[in-house]
Amino acid sequence: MALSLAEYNELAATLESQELDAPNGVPPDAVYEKLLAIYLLQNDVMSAKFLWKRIPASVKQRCPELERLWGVGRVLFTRDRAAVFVVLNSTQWGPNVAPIMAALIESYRERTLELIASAYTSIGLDDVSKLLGQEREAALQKTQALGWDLDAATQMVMPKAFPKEKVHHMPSEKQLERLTEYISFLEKGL
Amino acid sequence: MATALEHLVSEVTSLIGQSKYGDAAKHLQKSRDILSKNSGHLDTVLATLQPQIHTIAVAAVLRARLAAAVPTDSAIDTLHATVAEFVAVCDPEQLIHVQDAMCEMLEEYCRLLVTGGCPMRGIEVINSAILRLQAHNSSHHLTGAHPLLLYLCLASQCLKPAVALLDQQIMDVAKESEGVTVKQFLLYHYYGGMVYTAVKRYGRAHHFFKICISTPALAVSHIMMEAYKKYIIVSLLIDGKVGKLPKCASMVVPRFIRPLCQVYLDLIQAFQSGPESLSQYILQHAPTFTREGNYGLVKQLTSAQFKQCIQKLTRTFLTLSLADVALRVKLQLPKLAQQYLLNMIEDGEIHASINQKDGMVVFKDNPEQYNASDTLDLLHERMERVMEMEKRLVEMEEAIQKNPSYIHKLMGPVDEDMLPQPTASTSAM
Repeated sequence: MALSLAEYNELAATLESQELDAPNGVPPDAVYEKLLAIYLLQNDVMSAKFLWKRIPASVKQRCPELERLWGVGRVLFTRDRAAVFVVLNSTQWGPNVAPIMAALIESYRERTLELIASAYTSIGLDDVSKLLGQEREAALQKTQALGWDLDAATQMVMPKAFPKEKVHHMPSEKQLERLTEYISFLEKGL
Repeated sequence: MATALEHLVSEVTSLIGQSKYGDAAKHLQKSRDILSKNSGHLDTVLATLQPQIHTIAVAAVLRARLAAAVPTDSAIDTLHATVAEFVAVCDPEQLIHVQDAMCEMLEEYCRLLVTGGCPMRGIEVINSAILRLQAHNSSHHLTGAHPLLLYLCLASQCLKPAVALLDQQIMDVAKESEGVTVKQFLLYHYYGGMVYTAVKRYGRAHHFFKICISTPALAVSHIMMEAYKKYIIVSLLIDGKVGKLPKCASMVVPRFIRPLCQVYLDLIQAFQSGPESLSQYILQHAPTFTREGNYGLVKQLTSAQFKQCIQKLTRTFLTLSLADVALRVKLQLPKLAQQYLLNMIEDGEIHASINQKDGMVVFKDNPEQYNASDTLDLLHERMERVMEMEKRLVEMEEAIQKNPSYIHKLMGPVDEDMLPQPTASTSAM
């Protein structure tokens, strides 16, 4: 069951209130697992960190999946980008979190690609493959699909910046209405 | 003694029955020790009262009951349920008269939960209590329950509800008779600063600590002193220096609080003299920082220093080799410098592009042109806030101009007859 990001955000809100409403302050283990995984997916490492800290020790012992999930959180927190994929790929996830973690791999790779595009004008193919957690061949394919050139002699990739997202324009009446509001407000002070 | 209690309860319930809420609240306030001396009988009293009808009485009795509570699991379970029900059904009309008792009651409740090791359970209850207390005001109104929510959130390490509360701009504060004492005001800003520090929103944290240390004061407050220490660290984290105290800060801060924070004042010096002296200083004073709960925060200064160094470089150079960056920032490896640059680019803290082929980094200007629609949205949001703030300001000014004691002071010593009669307008206060 792959959900969209918006659906995950909704699910997170439900899980958060389940945690707050839990009769003795401790919700079922699955709530913790899913919430922790979704925080990671949302790139909200701070929330994940505090969730990990407040999960009772007995639950952590009972449910080793949490420890594994936080293993991912830890490398995300220290921004050890190469290690993120190593941890993500080497772990077998339980049914509760497997779809979330699959989505995390995709979104993290996407984010890293964007970062490479904005931070580098040239970068070694080896570094790209490490950052993306993919084999050289797969990484090369990915970059070429984006139209990035490869300097064969130095094995350097030349990333191109991502085109800026299209801006949405609001109707001009609305804009005019807002401007009128501002002007009448500013004039009032004179 | 039990008869005195019975007597009190019957008097108060009859006053409530006649809708003399103010009198009932005053009567209870005067007879607080009758309640606390009879703590054994309070459960029976609670059973006879109905929270939605006898809100005033229940608030006071519950406060006394909670103050005497022992944090055992079963006691917490029952009391938690009682408080939650009370908050859910209490009568807003009566609540106006017992806001201070209500806040004290909630404070006892939070203390019980924290000593019982389950602060998380109270978050929803306090959240709805805040809405109850704000029933006659906007969500920009600071109540006595605000610091309690932050306290529970910090104690349970569940910060999201706290951040949601803090992001609502506070524009006015309940009066002392409504449960907000100076202590509560300071605590709100101190805890608020801590919450924002924990989620690394240092700008907001700085703002909160600053309010805390510039609160008018005649005596030294421990809350203020701790806030001052954190204020120094957070200032250094943001831009490597500590600004002057705000003009409105009390003389207490430079005179009495500063000398007590010498370790932190010297930290500024150490921070500004470079990485070696900083790490040496932190190591040397680690026990102090650890004891005062600031060690984790102080440790973050090390990487903040590197980042600020890199930011300075972007202002001086257009291009620089990675090795040079490492050398100037005093990082051991060019690889490490690249790591820092990458993280900072990701966070939007610098604008640069790395060229691995030549081992160079090019620093760029901020590419933001301020011509996209999100700039307009941002402008709109800020304008809305300013406009709302202005509205509040006008309201407050009107309230002051109608205040008889203000008018009195303004006119100076004049004949009593000359004074404008306090008219209906004073009821606006």
